[in-house]
Amino acid sequence: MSQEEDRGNNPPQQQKDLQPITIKPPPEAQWVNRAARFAQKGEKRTRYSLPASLDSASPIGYRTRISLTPEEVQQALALLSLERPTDFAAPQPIIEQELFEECSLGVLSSRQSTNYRGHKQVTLGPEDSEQISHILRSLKHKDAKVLARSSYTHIIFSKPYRTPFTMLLTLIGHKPFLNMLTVPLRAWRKKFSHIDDIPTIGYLQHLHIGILADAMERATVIASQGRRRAQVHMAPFCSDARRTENRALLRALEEICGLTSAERAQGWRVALVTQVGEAIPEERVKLPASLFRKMGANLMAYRSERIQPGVNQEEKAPEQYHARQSMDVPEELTVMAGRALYNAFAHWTGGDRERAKDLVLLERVDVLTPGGKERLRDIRKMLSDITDRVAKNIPLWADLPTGKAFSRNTARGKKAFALAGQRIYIAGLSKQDIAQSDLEWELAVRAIGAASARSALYCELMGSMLIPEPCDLLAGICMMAGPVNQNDIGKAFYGEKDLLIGKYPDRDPTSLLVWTLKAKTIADPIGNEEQLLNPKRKGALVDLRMGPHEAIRIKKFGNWGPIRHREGRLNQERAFWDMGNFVTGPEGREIPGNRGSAWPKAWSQEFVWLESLYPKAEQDD
Amino acid sequence: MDSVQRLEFDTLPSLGSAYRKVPFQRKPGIREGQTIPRIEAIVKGVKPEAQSIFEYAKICRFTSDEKHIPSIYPHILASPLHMMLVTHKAFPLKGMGLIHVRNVITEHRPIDYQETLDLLCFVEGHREAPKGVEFDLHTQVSSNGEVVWEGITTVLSRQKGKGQGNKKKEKKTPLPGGDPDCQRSALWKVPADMGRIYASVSGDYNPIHLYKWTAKLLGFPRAIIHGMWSFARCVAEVTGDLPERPLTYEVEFKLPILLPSTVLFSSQDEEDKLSFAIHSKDGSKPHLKGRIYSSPKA
Repeated sequence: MSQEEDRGNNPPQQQKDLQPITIKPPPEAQWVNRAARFAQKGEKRTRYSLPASLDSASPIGYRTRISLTPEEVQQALALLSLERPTDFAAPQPIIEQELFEECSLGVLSSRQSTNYRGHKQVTLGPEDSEQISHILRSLKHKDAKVLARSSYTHIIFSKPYRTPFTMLLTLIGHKPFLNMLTVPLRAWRKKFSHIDDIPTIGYLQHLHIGILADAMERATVIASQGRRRAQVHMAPFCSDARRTENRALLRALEEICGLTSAERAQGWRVALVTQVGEAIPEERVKLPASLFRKMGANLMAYRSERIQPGVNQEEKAPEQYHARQSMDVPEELTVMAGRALYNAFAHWTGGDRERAKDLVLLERVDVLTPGGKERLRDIRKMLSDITDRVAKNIPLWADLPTGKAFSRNTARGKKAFALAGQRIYIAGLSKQDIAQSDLEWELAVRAIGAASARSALYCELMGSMLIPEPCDLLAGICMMAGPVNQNDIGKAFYGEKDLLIGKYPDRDPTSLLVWTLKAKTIADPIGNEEQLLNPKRKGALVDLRMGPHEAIRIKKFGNWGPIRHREGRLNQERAFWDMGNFVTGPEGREIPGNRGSAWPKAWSQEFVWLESLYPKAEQDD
Repeated sequence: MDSVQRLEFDTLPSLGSAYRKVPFQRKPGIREGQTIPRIEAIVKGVKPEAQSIFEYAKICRFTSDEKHIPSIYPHILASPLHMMLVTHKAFPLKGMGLIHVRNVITEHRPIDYQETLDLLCFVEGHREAPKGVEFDLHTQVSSNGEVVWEGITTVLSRQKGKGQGNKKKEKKTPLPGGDPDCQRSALWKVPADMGRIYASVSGDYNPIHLYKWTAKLLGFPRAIIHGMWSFARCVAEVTGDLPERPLTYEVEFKLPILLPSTVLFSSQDEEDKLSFAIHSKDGSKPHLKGRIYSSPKA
C-alpha cells in the first residue's frame, strides 16, 4: 500500500509559515505604468490599446491589482498555507452570491491555459453530499479524511489537454510518405483512446487539476470570509490503475453527476471532489472582511506577466516598455517562494517537507546563476532548433490545404517560449524517485501544478504590497509549459535530452513547468488579456474565459441546471466588483461593459438549497 | 377656462382603435392665448392579467416576483387611456409625430398582483419648449381609494420653425470609453424583433417600433425600441439595489435606440439616488438618462 493512500485522517501538518518580503520599487523617475488608452476614431487598435468594450459572462473582466499594506499581506499569507480541515460544524445554507464568488475564484479563474477548457464542475447540495461522502469513504487510495456534515460538494471533471497546438503535434515525428498512414493512425488513437502525442501534454491535464485544487481550497475560505473550509480529494482519481480499482464507485459518482456516455467518450473523468462545510470554530480563518474582499479582487486581477521592460518587449511597444527598470527580486523573496512551493507539494502529496524538497527537481537558469547566461542561450537555441525542425517536417499534404497554418503557428509558438525574467525556474520530477517514494505519478504531477501556482501566488502577492501610486505592480510571474512541451517534442522525436538533465544527470528527470519571475512596475499590455475575453481578437484559436453557465452545473430540487442562467439572463457580474479594481483609460473613462452588472439581488441573496434540507444545528456547534 | 372633458370606460380601451384614428385627425394646433383643456379618462376595477405581467417582466428582465407587479408596469395599463386623451376631439395637437421625452413615476408602495386598480389619466395645459410645445399626461393608479402609483409622461409636439438653431451647434467629438465613475456597466444586445415583442405585451403597435420598412415610412432609418422598454429594462437591472418604497423613477429619453443594437448600460449609486443611463456601445451617444430616489412618504 502506498504511502499517501487510504488515510482515515488528514496527512500531518507540514507547512512552514511564510513571511512577507518587500520588493523595493525603482527610483521614482522609472515609475512607469501601462497607461493604455482607447484607440481614437480611425486609429488602428493594437494590443496596447484599451479594448473598445467587453461583453462577457465571465466574472473576471479587465482588472487592476489592489495595493496591500504589509500588515494586510502578512495576514493574507494565512490563505497560502491552509491546512486540511479536520471536521465540519453543522451545515448551514449558502446564499447564491457566495457560491458564485467561490466558483469565480475556483473553476472560473484557476490559472488555466488560454486555450484549454479542460474543467467543468458539478455542484451538489446537502442531500447528495451525504451520498457522495459514503462513496468517498468506500474509495481506495484516499488522501484525506472524508468529513461528515458537508454543506455541499463540488465535483470537478477534467478532460485531456487538447488545443490547436496539440492538433499540430499529431503531425510531428513521422517519416516521409509513411506519414500518410501514421498521421491518421495517431489522430485516431488520440481522439478515441486519448493517447497523447508526447507525455508532457498528458501531464498538462494533471498540472491544471493541481492548480485548481489549490485554488478551490482557498476560494471557499475567501468567498465565505473564513466561515467555510474545503476538503479536496484528489488521490483516488489519479491514474488508470486507481480508477480501475475504484471503477464501480466512480461510476456511481458519475451517475450522480449525470455524466453522459458522450462526455465519457470525449475523455471527461472525475478529477477531484471537494467537500465544503462550515469550519469548526478553531479552524475558521479570521481575517478582516475587507481583506477577504481585496484578496478576492486581486485574485481576479493576477495575470501572466510575459514582458520584462527593456528586455523582451516588442519594437512597436509604447515607450514605457522599452526602458530597463533598476529593481530586482530580493533573494529572500525567492527563498519564501520556494518555501511556498514545498509547502504546497507536501500538502498535496501528504508527505513531509523534506521529502518534498527531495522530490521536486528545481533548477534556476537565469543570468544571475553561475553560467546562467550560457545555459539560457543553450536552452533557447535548443527550443528554437526544435521549432525549426518541426516546421520543416510538417507533412505538406496537411500544411498546404490549410494555407500553411500549421507551420505558421509553429513559428508563432517561439514567442510563447520566451524565457525572460530576473528569475527563471524549471520544475520537474523523477519518475523513479516518485515510484520509490510510493507516490502515484499523476498525483505528484498534480502537486507540482499546485505547488508552482502557490509559489507564483506568493510572488504576485508580494508584488502587490505597497505598489506606488502610478504603478501597476512590483512583481509578476509567467508560468509556462510551452518550453517543456517543446523540449518534449525534441525528446520524443529528435533525440534531445530533458531540460533538467544537466542538473539532475542521475535521476532521469521529467521537466514539467517553467516560470519566470519579474520585478517591474508596468503590467503587460491589455491585449494579452483581451484575447481571453474577446472572441474577435483571436478567432476560434483561443477559447474564451468561461461564464458560470458554461462550466458549472448545479442540482436543485432534483433537477440539473447551469448556474447564473435564469429567466433568459446570463451572468454579467464581475466577482468582487465592489472593490472597484477595473482598468480604466486616461481621465478615468471606463471600458464599456467591463464593470458588469449585478445579478438580481432577489436571486443572489437566496439560499441555493432550501434551509429545510440541512439538518438542524446541534447545540454544541 | 374650458370645461373638463371626461371619458369613462368600463374596461381598458384598446390602443389599436386609438392608433387607427391618428393619421386621419385634423387638429388646429394651439393658438395664441389657448392651451390644452383638461381632458380626463377614467377606468375603474382593472385587474391586471397575470400572464401579461409575467410576459412583461420576462421581456424587461424583471425577476419573477409572484407578489408584486413590476414598478413600471402600470404605465402599460395607462397607455390606452393616454391615447384616448391625445385622440380626443378637444385635444388640439396632432397625434402623429408626438415624442415621448420624459417620464416621472412615483411608486408609493408595491402593487400586489391580485389588487383591483382604478386608473385616472388626464392632460391639461402645455408649455413652450425649445423644439415645440410640451404637455404632460398624468396618471393616477388607486387601490381601494389609496393612490399607489403616479406617473407623468411628458410629450413633445414639434412645431415648425422651432429648434432649428440647435442644428448649427458645433458637434463635440465624444471621448471614447464609458462614463467615468460608473459602478456598473454592461452591454445589452437588443434584437431586431424586440419592438414587436414588446408591442405584443404593451399593445403599442406604433409602426416605428415594428419593422424597418414601417419605421422608414415614418422617417426612421430602422425600427426603434419603445422608450418605456428601455426605461423598464434599466429599472429591472437595478431593482435589487433599490431601497424601500416610496420611490420616484425619472427618465429622460435622448436618442432613439435603433434595432438591432448593442447598447451600454451604466449605473451609479450616489448618496441619495441611483442614476442610470443607456449609451451607444462605445459610450459616445446617450439614449436615455435617469435616476431613482426615495420620495417622501405621503
